[in-house]
Amino acid sequence: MRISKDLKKWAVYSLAGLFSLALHGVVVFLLLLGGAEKSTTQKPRPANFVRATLVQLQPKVPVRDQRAAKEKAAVAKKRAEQRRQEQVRKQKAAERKQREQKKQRAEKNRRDKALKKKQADARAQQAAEQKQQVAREQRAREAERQQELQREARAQALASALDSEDEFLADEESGSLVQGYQQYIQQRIIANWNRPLSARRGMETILSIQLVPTGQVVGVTVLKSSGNPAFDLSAQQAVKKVGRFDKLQQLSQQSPRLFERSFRQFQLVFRPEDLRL
Amino acid sequence: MPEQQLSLLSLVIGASVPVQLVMFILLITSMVSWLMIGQRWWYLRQMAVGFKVFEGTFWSGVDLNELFRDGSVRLKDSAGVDGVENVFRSGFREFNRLTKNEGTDPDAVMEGTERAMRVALSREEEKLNTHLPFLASVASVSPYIGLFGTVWGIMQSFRGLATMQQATLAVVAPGISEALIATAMGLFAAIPAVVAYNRFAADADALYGRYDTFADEFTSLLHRRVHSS
Repeated sequence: MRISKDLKKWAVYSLAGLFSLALHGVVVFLLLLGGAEKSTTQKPRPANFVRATLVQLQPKVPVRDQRAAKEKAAVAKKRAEQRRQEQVRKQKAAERKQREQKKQRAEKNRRDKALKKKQADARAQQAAEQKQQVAREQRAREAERQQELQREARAQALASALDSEDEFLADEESGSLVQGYQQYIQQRIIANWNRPLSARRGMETILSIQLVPTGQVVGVTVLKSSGNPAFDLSAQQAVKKVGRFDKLQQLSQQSPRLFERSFRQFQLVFRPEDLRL
Repeated sequence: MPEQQLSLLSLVIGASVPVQLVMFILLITSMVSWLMIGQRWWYLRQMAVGFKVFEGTFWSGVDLNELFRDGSVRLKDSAGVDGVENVFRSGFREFNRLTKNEGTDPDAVMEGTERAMRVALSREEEKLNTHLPFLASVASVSPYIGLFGTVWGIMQSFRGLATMQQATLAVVAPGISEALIATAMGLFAAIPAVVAYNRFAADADALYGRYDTFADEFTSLLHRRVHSS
């Protein structure tokens, strides 16, 4: 009499257990389903990576010896064939020469006839050429005048260049200064850069950046893509995130010309070195 | 930017051992607590329905001796007697036993009957409240277990971060995400347990109250019978 009561109790427990199992199964399944859709984009990238490493690991020594033996045999056969072919070729060549000599004789006769015709034509042409020469001389005079004008312009440019030479030398001294600022810019960008998951070592993208004298970024464009759009975009966003390069404001106050020349619009090779992949 | 999201499964598999252990514990806890919830729900419903049916027959004017015999038959048929009927049976049995010997003091009879019913009542209360402490402790403890897993996971991912030269969000994010799964699982186990505990505790309390009322009513009925004879 106790047994059936216990059985009933057991049945209730197992039913509840089944319910709980089913509930958790459904929840886990739904979560995994949601996760699987998102993760599909991730799969192809590691595959590429693995392929690259495998190629380096491939070389095998023992196979080569066998191959070398086979190759030697093959080379010997080839040489024998080549010799045969050369003999055949020589015979053919001798035959050809005989034929060609015959042809040449026939052609000489034809040429002699053609020469007589040409001489008659040439006299008519000489008259026409004299007229053309007159026209050419006129053109040459005009060209000389233009060249003179150009020379004058160059002389003026040279004079202005001499004027600015002093500046130029000063600028060259400040080349290291410019480099320092470039390094500063690179650092600021990398500090504000979010590494996308797909970024790999050796990626680089060339950015064109426009600044105003306050150091404010007014424009960023990608000149040369790294091939990975996520990487390009992250670099571009890093520059936008920096927003303002404070040190460049000092530079533009100290030497506005240097700023105008080097930083108003400049190209930057964005190549983060410490990618861990 | 083409975002690459990590699947939940890879996060769980990639988690460190303590975090995985926490997740496993929480999964088991959640499953057991749902088992308890199912069982309790069924049992309390059964009890509520049984009480209504028994009260209906009791107040329908049926002979109490017949009602008692009916229960005995069902006991022999191994169908089982539960809930308020147990209170009635133990009280009635005691009452009959005491009134068999002539000359017993009516007050003593009533006292014995009441005591027997009180014992049955407390047994029934115990039955109503089984598993509820388990649900209560799941409700209060599993968020902490989950939190422990999360804290551990975040600790690990920050320790990993310390060795790197450049701290990007992409380095810590997977670790934190994986750690947060533990908290999510803790809450997943705790929330149903809290709701179920409150609901079932209230139901059990209400049922016990009704049993108690019935016991009082029955006592007064017997009291009338003792003092009228």
